[in-house]
Amino acid sequence: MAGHNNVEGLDERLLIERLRQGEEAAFREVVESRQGLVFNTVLGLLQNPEDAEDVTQEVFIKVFESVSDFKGESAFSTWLYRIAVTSSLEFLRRKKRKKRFAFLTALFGEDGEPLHDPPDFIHPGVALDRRENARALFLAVKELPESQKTAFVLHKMEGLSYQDVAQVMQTSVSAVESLLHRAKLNLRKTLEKTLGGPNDRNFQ
Amino acid sequence: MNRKQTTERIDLAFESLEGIRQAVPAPFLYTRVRARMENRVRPVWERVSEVLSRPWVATSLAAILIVVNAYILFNALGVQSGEVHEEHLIASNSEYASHTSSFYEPNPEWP
Repeated sequence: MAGHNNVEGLDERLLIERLRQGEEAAFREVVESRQGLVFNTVLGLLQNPEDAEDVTQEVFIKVFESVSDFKGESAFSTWLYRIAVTSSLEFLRRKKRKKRFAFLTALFGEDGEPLHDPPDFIHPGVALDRRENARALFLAVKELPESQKTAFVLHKMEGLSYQDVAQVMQTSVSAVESLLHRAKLNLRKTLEKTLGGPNDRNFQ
Repeated sequence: MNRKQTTERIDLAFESLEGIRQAVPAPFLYTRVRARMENRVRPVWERVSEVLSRPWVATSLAAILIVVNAYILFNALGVQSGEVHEEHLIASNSEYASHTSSFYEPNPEWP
């Protein structure tokens, strides 16, 4: 898959075979060589570094436990992206459900974990002079529907081609094009409200 | 802010992701993943569903279910045919008046 380098001198098939046999060294190799790929995807979708760390760990545990399900029909990285996306979306849904029933957990005094994200997320990889604009964009990305958000993060942040995004999302290239087009329209609408309105922090 | 300025800022927001660098997770991710795997207590239902979803377990359970169902069905049919036989006996008994009267009956019918 374009956009990410395989570990040099590493035969992917052999690595997966070793992973299937439960070899610890193979698992370490997978985690260390693909942690950037997984963490970035998850961070782009969750927009919270602590949650992203948590879900990244879960993704690798899933990889270890379900490597026997990997049939090799797609690239290993495609399969990893798929697990990362699914796990992140599941996490977001769980969080949404928790928020919905937050009044109950407050009543019964269940775990004190914060249910609300910090309002501003700035991706650590964004250049310093662009951070303010990126902040507004990430706020808008948060509001996108799941499929549009996934396509946008994979294409714009992970740098995957339409073809690769289609493979990860198990859909057609034209569907990805359509998703990205709608995502841009929605983002523009949201940004118009936030940047053009009186609530814009930069102009207060 | 006028419309032109807003459009410019929106374009800048879209451009802000250009050349974005990869974020790096905190160090020692592998160690943390291993620790999590070792300390993980999986929910009972997750383990049960994992066992049940194995093809040979699912097939065996389905086969057992079919056999038990068939056994119950045939047994019920057997009981039903026994009841029919009993009804037939009662009918013929009354037809030939072969019943025995009790000693305490007020007007016993003796054959």
